[in-house]
Amino acid sequence: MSDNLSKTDFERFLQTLDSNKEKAAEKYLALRSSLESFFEWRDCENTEELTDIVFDRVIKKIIEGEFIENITAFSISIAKFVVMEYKRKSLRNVDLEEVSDTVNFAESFESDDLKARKLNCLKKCLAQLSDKKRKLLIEYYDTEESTMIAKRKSLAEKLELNLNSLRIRVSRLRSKLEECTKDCCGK
Amino acid sequence: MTIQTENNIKIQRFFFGEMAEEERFEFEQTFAANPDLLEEMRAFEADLIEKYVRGWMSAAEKLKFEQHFLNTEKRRQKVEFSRQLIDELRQETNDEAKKVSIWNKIAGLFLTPKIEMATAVSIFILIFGGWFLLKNYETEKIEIVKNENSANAEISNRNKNIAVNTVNSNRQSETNRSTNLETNSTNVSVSLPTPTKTPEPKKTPIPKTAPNPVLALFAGTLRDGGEINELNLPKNSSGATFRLNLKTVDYQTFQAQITDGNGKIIYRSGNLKPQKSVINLFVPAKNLDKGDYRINLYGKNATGENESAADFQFRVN
Repeated sequence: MSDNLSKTDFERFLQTLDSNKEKAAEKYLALRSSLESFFEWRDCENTEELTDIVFDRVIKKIIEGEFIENITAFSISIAKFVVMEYKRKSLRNVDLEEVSDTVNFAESFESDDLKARKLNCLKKCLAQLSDKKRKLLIEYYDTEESTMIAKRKSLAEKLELNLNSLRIRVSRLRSKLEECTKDCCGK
Repeated sequence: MTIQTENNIKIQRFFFGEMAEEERFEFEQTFAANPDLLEEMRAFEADLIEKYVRGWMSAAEKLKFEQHFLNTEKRRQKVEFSRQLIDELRQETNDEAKKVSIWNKIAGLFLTPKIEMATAVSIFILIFGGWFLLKNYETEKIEIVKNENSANAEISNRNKNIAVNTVNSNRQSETNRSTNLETNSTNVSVSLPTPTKTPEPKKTPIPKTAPNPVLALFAGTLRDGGEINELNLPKNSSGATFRLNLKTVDYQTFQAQITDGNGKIIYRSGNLKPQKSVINLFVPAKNLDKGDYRINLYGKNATGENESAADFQFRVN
């Protein structure tokens, strides 16, 4: 968030989200997460910074006294403009993304050193998971293409879930692991 | 269920860039306001990545995925993370399977009806054999007591046999044993087996890998004498690390690209973080043939744009 905005401005913004402080904080985090995904899926790199820009603009509008009926919809509209600005600026600058001639860049993008460091961190993060969660991940990925649906359905039944809920549960667990790995590598 | 299927179709179209801008924006507003849908989209994204990483995509799907999905570093990192996670979990599965199979094999021996019978017979033989040996031993002891002289002669003969049968390397220990036999005749009941030397485990040769060279480079391209910095890259090394020394650190994150003498880009790095005023850049050996190269270093400004930060030059011998 920009330096021009004070703590009171931010509190006022939270108040607009919900009169209950805890609920407001939850709504803020949910909106933040949606915006970050929005930017990520719009092919932006610095999703956190762009999300901050959106919040700065929304808060400014609130301070200026604008009545915002639906903050989520309003924020997404602002986010769309931020993306357009970002893309325009990116075009003016050196576009490194288009110059790669590496065929399988997904495999060769990271250096071996970095890969090794990340793997080490991943192992640490996996070790921090409870046995139950680790077992869930192991069982979920212990499949081949031909048996995937049947195996995952059976795993979901065992856990008294439907297949979709199981996918979402695993996806959340993966996200947490990814965050943990990033934090570990950043240290 | 119908809503879910509809969502899945929309999500798929969204990720493969098949939505027109208006429809896309409408969908973005929907998922921003609906945390459940957002979760579903993330799960779908994870499934897509899994399919890609495990090679389960058709050629057409793969192409679409690479064109519309793998176009940001963040996503490429996600793919890399998935690859490592799945590999790691599959490794754990294999390890567990090995452990289980060993115990299963052992347990299985006792569970097959034929083996059950064989086990029973073996136990019977053991018991009966033990009783037989014990009985013989008792008889022999009585014989020894009856005729001490003949017993000593018998023992001495046995020792001779043992000495003949024993391998050369164990001569000393066998001599000790025969001494014991001579001094304590009551211990003799069964002839001793010939000891065999445990073969030494075969040593697997460790593949020789040359160490990766490190080359320090300073912004300004050439060395003081106007000479280019040279890198001697051993044949077996996996790559080289370049220590890029910066005059000032104006950015938090950098990205490097390397061009060869013809201006062709031969390598592009991920995000690089400086340590004090040095950036370590590892480049795989496969990207470094003999020749002259230039490293262009870019810093990411506050809005994520790349700005030229420094240039370095080197030669691979």
